[in-house]
Amino acid sequence: MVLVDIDLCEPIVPIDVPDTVDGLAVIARLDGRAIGFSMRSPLSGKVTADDLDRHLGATCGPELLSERLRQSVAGHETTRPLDPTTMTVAVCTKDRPAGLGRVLTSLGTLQSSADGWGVEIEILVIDNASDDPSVRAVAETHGARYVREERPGLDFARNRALAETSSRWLTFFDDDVIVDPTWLRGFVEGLVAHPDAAAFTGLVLPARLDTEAQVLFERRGGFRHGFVTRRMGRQHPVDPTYPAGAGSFGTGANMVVRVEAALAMGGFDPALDAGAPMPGGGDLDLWYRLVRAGEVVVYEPGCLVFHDHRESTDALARQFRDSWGRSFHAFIDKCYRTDPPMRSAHRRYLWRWYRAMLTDLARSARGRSSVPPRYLVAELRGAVQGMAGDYRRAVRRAEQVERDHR
Amino acid sequence: MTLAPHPPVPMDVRSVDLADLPDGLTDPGRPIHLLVWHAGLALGAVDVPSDHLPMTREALVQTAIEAALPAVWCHLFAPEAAFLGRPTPRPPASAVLELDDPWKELHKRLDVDRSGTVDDLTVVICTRDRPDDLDRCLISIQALSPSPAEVVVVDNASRDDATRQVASRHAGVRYVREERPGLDHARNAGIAAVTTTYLAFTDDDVAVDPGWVGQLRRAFEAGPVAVTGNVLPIELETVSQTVFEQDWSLGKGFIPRRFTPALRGRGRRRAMPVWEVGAGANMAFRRDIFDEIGEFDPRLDVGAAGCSGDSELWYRLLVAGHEIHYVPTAVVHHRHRRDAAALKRQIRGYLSGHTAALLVQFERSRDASNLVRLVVVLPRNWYRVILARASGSMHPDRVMLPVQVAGAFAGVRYYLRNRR
Repeated sequence: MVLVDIDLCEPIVPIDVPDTVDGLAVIARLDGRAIGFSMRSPLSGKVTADDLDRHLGATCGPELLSERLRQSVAGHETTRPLDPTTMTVAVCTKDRPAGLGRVLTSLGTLQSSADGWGVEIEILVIDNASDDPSVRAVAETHGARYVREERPGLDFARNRALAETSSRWLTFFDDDVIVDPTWLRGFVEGLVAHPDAAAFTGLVLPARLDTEAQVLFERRGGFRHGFVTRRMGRQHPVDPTYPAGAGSFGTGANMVVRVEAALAMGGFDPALDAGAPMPGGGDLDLWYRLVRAGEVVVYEPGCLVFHDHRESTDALARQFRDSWGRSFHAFIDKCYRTDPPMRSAHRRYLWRWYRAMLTDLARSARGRSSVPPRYLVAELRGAVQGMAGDYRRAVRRAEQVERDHR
Repeated sequence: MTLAPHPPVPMDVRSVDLADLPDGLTDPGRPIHLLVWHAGLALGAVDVPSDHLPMTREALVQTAIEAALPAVWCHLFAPEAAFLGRPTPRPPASAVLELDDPWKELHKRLDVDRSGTVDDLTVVICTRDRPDDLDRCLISIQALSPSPAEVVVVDNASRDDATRQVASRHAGVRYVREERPGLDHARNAGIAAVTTTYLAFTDDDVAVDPGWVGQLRRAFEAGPVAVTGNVLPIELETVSQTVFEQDWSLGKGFIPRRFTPALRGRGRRRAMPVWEVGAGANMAFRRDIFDEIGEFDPRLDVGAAGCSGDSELWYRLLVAGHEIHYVPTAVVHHRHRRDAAALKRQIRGYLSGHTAALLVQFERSRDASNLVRLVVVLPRNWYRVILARASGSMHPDRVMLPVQVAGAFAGVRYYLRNRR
């Protein structure tokens, strides 16, 4: 699909969608702030400004009105800078020098605007035992601090970042994202509105939609959790299973933690987010523990990054199986074991999850779901595997890694 | 239904004005039921849980706008939307962008001249043995701007003189006495006493918003024969008041609604949702409509079957081909019953009045959807309540099932015994 980023403070221009392409995806902004995302296909040929005008009105009219109302009430003055504070921006990476280079380049604008916002920024690259020596070269070219973490596993790398930082805030970006220039403004606005937050998660939009797998993933929701700031605390207004699952909190590819709060939680769990076969769950686990301890996690869509989704359908199917199947359910298994008061909530959550998955699978078999059955079957298989002792095995594996690297 | 799995607790009722926001919300030690306005227009409400408090000004801006957005959108871009009708297509983005100032546009559509008198509308309050409540109500009526042509108090066979004395203490209030006990008899006496083109009813346990009459009168310009308004809580000091507000609200939200006769043609299984039209505590009529369709039916009175005399009238109006508009910016503030026993009696009364009304509606119109609702839909709703209670989605303090079922049966029995 052709992916366009339109700011409605500028006049709308027509777009040409070539025949080789499936359709059109639109990121809508107003004055720099992202307010909506939509996909239209099949679509090809010339999309006139009027077409786009109508499309944008239909897909994000109320969001547009909301932003205009907010601007009118809050005034056009941009948010005030913070009392001086410090932030370490950490990118944990393994053997992906090109991706790392892109993230670090995009952080250039972040750094140059940081003083104006009252934030002193340090960029830190945690090289998670890359075999490729150019990773270090890329980090040093961009003037980032370079640290090598020998214990393989994303959560080992994250904990190393926690150990290496002396800032108040620690931000994590994955090595396959591009950080939007408005990110820091979004963080400052989120912090000003919620000064007691222990963690922030941000909006992740697709960087491109070139392959079928990328389009499929985004159709299923991608990493999007909406365009409205959400504050997550002890309880949820209507969901009795909250915070079981912690799925809607955000995505670890774009998150900030208050260092002292993360350390009080004992950091990230190295059994999770350990690479295959457990390539996920570490972020959810930390947010879950934070809110259970009475802390506040804020989803702030103003913290915007763009992500390179998996290109091949095989890789996507593996992601369904291993990230959202196995790792997710291993995380739920861990919560179930370690958080007894929440057991009935977890049981109810799982019941709902399986019921929704099976309904979706039935719809998918009839061609009425956003993804073909293959991916849902993979996710279900991963889920069943994940519940069957995967977490305990992962803990033993992590302990072995620690021993190997003593 | 927000906070449904959680126990209903007392809350602070607070209003904020988006045109003049405070520097945030302080923490009163309990949740806040936040009413959101913009320069006198009621636009939304949201329950703010304790762990969102204290709230910064920036977070308050976002919370208040989120609460007001659906109503502002509808007022600006879908004001004619028929209730349960086809959704209005959204305008192009340029329509939203070209608004010079959305708030100004909102006020241009909704504001009325606040000075002077609406000389073709009379306010009627039916009351019985509640002189203190009546006094408070009349004080709020004196603050109406614009003011009504006249105020009539219908004393429904009060046992002593106190009601008449309260009425006489307020200038410009006419006192009428109706000896036959029953709210619908009193309302009919009010209709007989009114000489202006329009009349508006409210109850004695209500404080009216200063813009109430102006908003009701404006709504008649669009052509409905009846108009209903919003009912907001004065206080939520007891669990019963909270349960009533959250689960049995008299107010029908902040989005304007048009009830049209097309609601009837939705099939035999779907009864006309007349319980959504509005509350007897806030309703206005073009007086001559009663000559056409008749008056309130005294069989459905408080004290008799329950209190659905007004919803049966909505039914008759729609069946006769007329429109009713719900105007959320025409606001009254209601003091809910404080104790659990009174709440239970009220719910029981709602259900008995409702089932009796369904049977009266069927009797008059022969529309089978009324019976379908009685025999299929209501029991199915109760079954869902049982499931919700079992799954933890509904807190036990909110489940009023025995009272509902008892009330429903009482209404059926009452109707069968009093059939004409």
